[in-house]
Amino acid sequence: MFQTFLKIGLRHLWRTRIYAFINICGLAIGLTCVLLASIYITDERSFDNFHKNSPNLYRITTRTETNGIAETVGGTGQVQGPAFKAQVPEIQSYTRIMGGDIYGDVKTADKVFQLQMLFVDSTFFDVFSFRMRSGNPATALLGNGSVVVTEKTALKFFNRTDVIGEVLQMAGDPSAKRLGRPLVITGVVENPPSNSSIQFDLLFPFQFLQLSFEDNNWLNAYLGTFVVLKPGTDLPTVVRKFNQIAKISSKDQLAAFEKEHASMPKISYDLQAITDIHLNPQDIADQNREAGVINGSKPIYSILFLTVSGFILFMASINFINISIADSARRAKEIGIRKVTGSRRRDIFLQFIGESAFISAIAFVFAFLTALVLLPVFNQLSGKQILPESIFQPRMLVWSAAILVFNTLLSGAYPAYLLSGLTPIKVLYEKGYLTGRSISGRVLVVFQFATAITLGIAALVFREQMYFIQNKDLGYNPQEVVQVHINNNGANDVQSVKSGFESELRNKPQVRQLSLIGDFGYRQARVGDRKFNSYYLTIDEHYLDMLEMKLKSGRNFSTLSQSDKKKGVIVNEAFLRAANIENPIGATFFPDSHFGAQPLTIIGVVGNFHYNSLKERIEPLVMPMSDQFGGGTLLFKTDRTNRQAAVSDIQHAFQQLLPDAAFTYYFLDDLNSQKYQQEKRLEKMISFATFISVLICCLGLFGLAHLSLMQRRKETGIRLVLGATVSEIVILFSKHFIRLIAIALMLACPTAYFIMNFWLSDFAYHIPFPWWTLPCNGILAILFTFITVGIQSARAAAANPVLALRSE
Amino acid sequence: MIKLEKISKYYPAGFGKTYVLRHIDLHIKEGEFVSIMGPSGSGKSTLLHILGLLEEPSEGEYLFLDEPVQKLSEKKRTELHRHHIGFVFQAYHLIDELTVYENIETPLLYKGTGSSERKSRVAELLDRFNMVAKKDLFPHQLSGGQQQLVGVARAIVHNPKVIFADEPTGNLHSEQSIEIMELFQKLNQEDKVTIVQVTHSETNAGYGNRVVRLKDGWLA
Repeated sequence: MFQTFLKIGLRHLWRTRIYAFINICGLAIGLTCVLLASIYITDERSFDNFHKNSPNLYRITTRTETNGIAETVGGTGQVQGPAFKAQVPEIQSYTRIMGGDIYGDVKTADKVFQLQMLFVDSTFFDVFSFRMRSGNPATALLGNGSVVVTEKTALKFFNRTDVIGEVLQMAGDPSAKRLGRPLVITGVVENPPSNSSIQFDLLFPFQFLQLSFEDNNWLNAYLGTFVVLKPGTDLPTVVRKFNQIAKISSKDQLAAFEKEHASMPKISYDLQAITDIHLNPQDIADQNREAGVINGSKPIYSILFLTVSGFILFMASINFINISIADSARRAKEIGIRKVTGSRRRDIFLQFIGESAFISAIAFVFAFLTALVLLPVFNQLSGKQILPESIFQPRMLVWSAAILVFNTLLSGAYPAYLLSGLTPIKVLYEKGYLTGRSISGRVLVVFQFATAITLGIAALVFREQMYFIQNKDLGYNPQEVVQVHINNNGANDVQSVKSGFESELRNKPQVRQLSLIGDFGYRQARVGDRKFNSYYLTIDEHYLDMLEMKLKSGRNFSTLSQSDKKKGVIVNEAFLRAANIENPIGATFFPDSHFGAQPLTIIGVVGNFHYNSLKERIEPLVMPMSDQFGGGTLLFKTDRTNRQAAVSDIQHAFQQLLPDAAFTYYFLDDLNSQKYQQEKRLEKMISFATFISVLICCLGLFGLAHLSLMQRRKETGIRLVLGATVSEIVILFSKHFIRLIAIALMLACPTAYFIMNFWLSDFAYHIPFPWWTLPCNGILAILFTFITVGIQSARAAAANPVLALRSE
Repeated sequence: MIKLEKISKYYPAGFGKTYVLRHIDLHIKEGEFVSIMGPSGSGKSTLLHILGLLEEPSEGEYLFLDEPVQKLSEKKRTELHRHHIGFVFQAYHLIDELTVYENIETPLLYKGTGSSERKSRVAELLDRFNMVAKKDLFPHQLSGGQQQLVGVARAIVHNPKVIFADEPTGNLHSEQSIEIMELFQKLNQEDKVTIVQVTHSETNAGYGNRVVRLKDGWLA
């Protein structure tokens, strides 16, 4: 019996191979998308689960509530870890980690690199399962002069991995200065896997950091504290203990804070499982990520990805469903005969499900291979580093089987249900019981087109917004500006580095201007009793000129005026609005305590400019002229025609002045566009999805049109004999589909408008909804339909009608 | 073997009903060769469908092999189709994807016949109908008369007790018709198969031993 099914199935496939081709192509494309989405999700969910301790491994998070505004961040200060460990017996072990976005210049006798540093407690290897290649994990991080390197780092410096006992210099690093001797490599660790939130090139003992940076403040939260709890521990109990300990220990510091700021933050702690961190990184806002955790993501990307690929697969399934039903005339007789000779509905249902499984399986094989081939492209698109092997891991194979079953049912169940329900009387005696124009078939086609059109509109809106962002007047000119970061070398060093650059580059015409700035992030400002957050950027007298910013009123800093450096400040217009100052020049306000207790006097006002991404609104900005630099950023304006020469001049000067540091540079406009990387990926993905869905729609249309032409061959012949023209025939066949597309358009437009408006509102600066995208997509959809259906019907109409009539 | 009592069939039409068959009482004994005749629209085909368990009567009682079929489950009905009933259609209705051999074999597959028995049974029929050379051809490669021969072979391959034939020669020219009707007669007389056919042709009816006439749904 099964044999006959197989035989009939195969022969039917062969006879209708054009439809089989459409189905397999479409399903293979859809399945490829779903496969890639599941690879993506599997990878997203696999983050940090390789740690042996992961079921009991938690990060301590800090919730701070100030003046009713609460914020939870994935970090603590230096004191919490040791204090909790000492007093909470449920903690089996703990480690602090500080790093992630901390880079330092590390050198040997002949090489220097800028590398990712992570400062960790000696228990690091107890807590996490990063594997040591050589060295003793228990002792490698004891003592303040040791360092553990990754294999990659070892190879970079020494071209080999047996490097225990070798030394590394960090001349510029304040801790290394205190240490006064080079660091000795005590261990080599495997490179952190790509699905680890904790990434590093070098591990330093926490004591090493503490040589230059010790902090006992309970109110701080900037580094990561990870604890391993004893199995079976009750989390709320532990958290309660944390809060009790903190309450007692931080009492004095809180009181001092209240005295200074006239407000009392409420601080409480919580635990976050390490495997939850990747999708909820709780980065510390407005600061560099120094709590050790990077690569953070959001579940929305997984959801979006799965949804879009699911839709694409569904569209392909719709093709399958519609073609199966429209083609059922051919199968109906078989079904009738089967029933008459004693086949039950269940048998026939299973037969059709089986055929759908067969098609799905073929498509799946293609999809699997395509996914493998596309993996590098996909990695580039998604920013991941997924290896081909990972497709074959058991979890993925289970996923694959589930997808296959799901797809078989998705595309096979409805036709099988419908066809197995046909009664023999109907199919053997009546004609026209089922055609491609069933209501459900039409609904499905409309749905399919609505999806494609929605995606099309989304893609266009996306492009428009991205174009807007990249071409918006930022309020300054980032062109030809090279940015070089100078690491934290102690307060006065940066200024002397700057003068060094000035004299080195004096005779180089390619480098036209130089400016030194320092970024201090959001801090408080006080005008009278009005307090608000402002962005602090220390600048020099060249900054405004170099970036071609316009002063709205007042003047620029001058080196001639001694008071500018001490008391002068330039602010932006948003600051004036927030401070409610009407006559700004000469007005004073109190800056953040970091910039002294004395008031600053406004000497100039610049127009608002986008110092951050366009997703963020322009906030008040304070630009003092200050010597207060930790590290700093040097900006060089280069000659348009000679950028590369300028960069090599800068590099040359850099190596003269800072022999211990690694030279890295960025063009400011590149840096700006990097802020939209996520959006650019999304844009590519949506364009791609649009392309695919249009392709699938056209395939489906092609199939349906082909079928209806075959079924209406006689009709076409008669019409032609009666004197219809080719164009009349084309219109006759296209009309039906065009009508469906019109309905799809009516559904898609509001949907796309709603979704894309929502997306646009995420940008503080965005275009108004581009209405032209709606008719544009409509016209494109109709055009595509006309081409797909028209060409075929024209061909049918051009054939000799006698052939069509005789064959009946 | 077949016993119809007060069988009626109607379809809802507007607020009333349209009767296709009215109060049909009909007994067919095993071994009979019955021809149902009547003008177009008199209900011949509907009667045949009811007899063949393809349609259910609206009223009345139908005993097939002494069993009331109205009450049968789908499963039971399928069993009857598998073992006791064969159909021959005007339009042959062969499965296009299957060869002559495979078409004839199909009912045996549903009946669950073993493979060697299947082979010998199909071979026997092919031989008897002089179609051995054509066994690997597909239906569209055959003439109408040959297709109907396959149709008949398929109807009898599982040794049914009764064959229902709906204008079996309607699409054939006279020579082919004679061939098919002689085959029916032989099946009836030699193999003792009960045959019920619907036909327009008095000549064809002459091959049988009883004629049932219908007019406007009534037995005439």
